Amino acid sequence: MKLPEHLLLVDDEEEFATTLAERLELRGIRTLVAHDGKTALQMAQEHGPFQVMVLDVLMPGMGGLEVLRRLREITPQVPVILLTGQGSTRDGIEGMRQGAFAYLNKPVDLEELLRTLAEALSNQEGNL
Amino acid sequence: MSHDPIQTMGTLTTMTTHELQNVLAIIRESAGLLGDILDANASVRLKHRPKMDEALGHIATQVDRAKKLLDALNRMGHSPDPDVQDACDLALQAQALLHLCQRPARLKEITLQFTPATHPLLVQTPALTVFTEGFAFLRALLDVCPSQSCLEISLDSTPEDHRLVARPSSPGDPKPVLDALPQGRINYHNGTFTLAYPVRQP
Repeated sequence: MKLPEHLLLVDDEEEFATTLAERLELRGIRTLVAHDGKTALQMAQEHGPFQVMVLDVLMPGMGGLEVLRRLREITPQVPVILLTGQGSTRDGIEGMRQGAFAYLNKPVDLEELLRTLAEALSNQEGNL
Repeated sequence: MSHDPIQTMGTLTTMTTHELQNVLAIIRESAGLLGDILDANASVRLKHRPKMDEALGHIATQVDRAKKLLDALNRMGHSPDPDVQDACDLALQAQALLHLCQRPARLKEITLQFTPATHPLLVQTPALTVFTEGFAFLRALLDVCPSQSCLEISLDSTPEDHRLVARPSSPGDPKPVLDALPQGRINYHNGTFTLAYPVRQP
């Protein structure tokens, strides 16, 4: 399973995002973290392109779907994986319609996330 | 903004379950990180390592348990949503109901065995109706089933209906269960209770 070397993780739950980032780092994935949509867009411009982005849907201020829409203008090729609550499956489906690669329900299982990251990367490389 | 009491309770429930999903996510990742650190230092001999692994295992198990309950609660909270008022998926509603009924079953020492559907079962009935009727049906069954018995729940279909099917290991008198909903909603035949909903027409 080939994993991405670097990704951007966007989630307003700081403890969740930083802890998940540490776990991804332990698996060799350099992970930058943004806690809001505006910062995520800035980081995508300044530090991108990332191989994959993991994006929470429900965030204060600019929501994940709006971030996704704007990301598509900056980095149209980068696969995006959405994190949704169970009841927000509709947001996940809407995100897929807007070009997200996949959506996962929170609390996400790390092995499932790693599998999805690998699939996103493989799909991305196949499209190049 | 709706002032409907049921819709308000649903909104409050879903808002809270979203927040709790975030809490669970933090607990899961924090426990996972501890496990990662222990694994990365496997060569260091820790006297209490087995206890630590056991405790981390308990956390993971309980997070999974809480996640299933929260998912069920979330589905219940969304059932009054306006966009599920014309139809719903009986398979998902039944699964959520069964998770929420595990505790009353355990308190009565009844084994609740559920065989989930393998595909969506769309019915022409609002989610809230399915949820409240399904709950009344299951509560009545749990009330009449004796302690130490087993209650098998599954889903069945005909061309016209999708059905919630209940087979108690000790059926006893069916009347209290049949009386749980208005006359004729619950059917009983040969030890099996059914609660049927018309298939959603395309």
